[in-house]
Amino acid sequence: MHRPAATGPSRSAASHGLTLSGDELWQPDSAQIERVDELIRGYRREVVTGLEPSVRAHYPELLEDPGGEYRKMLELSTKMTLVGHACCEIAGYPYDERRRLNGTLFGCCCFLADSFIDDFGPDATREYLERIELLLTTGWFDVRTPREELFYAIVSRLFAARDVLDPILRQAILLLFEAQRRDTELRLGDAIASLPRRELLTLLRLCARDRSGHAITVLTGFVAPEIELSLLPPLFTAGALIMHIDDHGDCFSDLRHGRLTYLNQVRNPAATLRRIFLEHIARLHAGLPANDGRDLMVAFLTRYFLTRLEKHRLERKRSDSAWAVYE
Amino acid sequence: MSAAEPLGDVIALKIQELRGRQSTARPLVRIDNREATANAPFQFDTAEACLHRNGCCAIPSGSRTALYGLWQIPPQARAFACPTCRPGDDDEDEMASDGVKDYVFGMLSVLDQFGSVIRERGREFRESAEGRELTAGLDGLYRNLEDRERATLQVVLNSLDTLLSTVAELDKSFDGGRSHNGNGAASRNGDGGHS
Repeated sequence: MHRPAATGPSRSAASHGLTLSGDELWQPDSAQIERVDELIRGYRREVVTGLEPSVRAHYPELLEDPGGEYRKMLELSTKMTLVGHACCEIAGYPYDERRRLNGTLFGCCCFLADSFIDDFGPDATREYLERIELLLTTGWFDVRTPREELFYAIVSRLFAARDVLDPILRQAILLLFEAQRRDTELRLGDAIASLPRRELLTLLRLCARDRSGHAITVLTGFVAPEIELSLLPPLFTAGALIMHIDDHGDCFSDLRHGRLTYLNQVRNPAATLRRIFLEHIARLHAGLPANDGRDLMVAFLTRYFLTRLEKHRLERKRSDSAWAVYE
Repeated sequence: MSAAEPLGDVIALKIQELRGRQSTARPLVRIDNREATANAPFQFDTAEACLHRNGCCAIPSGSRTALYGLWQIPPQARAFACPTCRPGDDDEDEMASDGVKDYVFGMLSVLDQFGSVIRERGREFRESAEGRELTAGLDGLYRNLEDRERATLQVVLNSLDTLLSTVAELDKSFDGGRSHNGNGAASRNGDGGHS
């Protein structure tokens, strides 16, 4: 859930031979894929309206867009707004303006939190994890920079928008934090080098699953007033799938930065991702109530899967850009 | 405060500044409930869609990081019951919270912790340009209300007033000779300085 949605040429799932034996009902038709594209275009504009005033008020330097960071933030927030749409309708609630804004704010929050953890070196990563844990355990966050001010303003707005002490939402937030910390420890520690290959792959797969699986649950908690317990497993599955798709798309840039993921360590990543995609989609389709939210989620995942396969293919050719695919 | 900065952002950021003004470090709000959830009687495995009793040996090791603690079994979760531990109503428990009472104690704790600072800030803010603007805005809002809406608002304000009086009374009776502000001094409920 932590990288922007790259969108490319629209193609149906069937044209890529994505069939499930005995059940092809899940496959989105071209109208459903087109709806995803339309929503993405609309949300892109809405996200700018929703985020720019806060960025201007707290961290105007970001608008100068050094390294395309602001655009990346908008893209991630757009993707989160769209996934939030699917989650909200899956949970049985209309996706109104206020809920859309919550989806957008959560995207912005994830982008900034990821930047704290990824972009300022190992010492800063550890310190940020400690400070975020302090925020979660005491509510205190010592704001030191404009970027942190923007982060805290967004977090506090999200926390005020929902009952953050709801038992499921607060557990999802803590589970997401723990997943993020395990992922970071894995990257920064030495233990990973001595693990047998099989164990390493299991660990990487679970890490990917948990990070995005819990993130989508938090997102749902912020866009929907209540989540029925029976929806948690399929939502978790959807989140895990998004992370694997993301990791495949970012394969070459992750390898350049020394970041191991399940999808950049398996022997045949494209075939592995295809198998994961089909398995996860089948579980999702069977586990979710038949409604517009489910259809939107499946269409988005299919679209995302296809575009990230394309991104992976392009990056293999010109492996000099981490963010090669934009519309 | 810049023109585009929402009032909520300002309040949230100002609250963080209060941290350094506490005589004793105390939490503002604790979202972390890991300890309570680890001890909840049921654990819902979101990776495998299975509801277990706490400590069930059938919980897969790969699911340990995807468990949600539950105190009661919602009707829709019964379909996911683990066949090994067979979770049932007999183990249901109350969550470690007490509903409305928690809110009352929460309000008391905020008043006790930050009462003097909030009052001081309120005075400063009322006299600032933004505060005057807000006061004018609220007056305008009140003037534009229909009679019925005004009556409703009055009922709400009266109820709030009654609630605050009740809280103050409760505070006095709970306080009775012991301090609850954690620093050994009698609670002043915001009247004294908390330097």
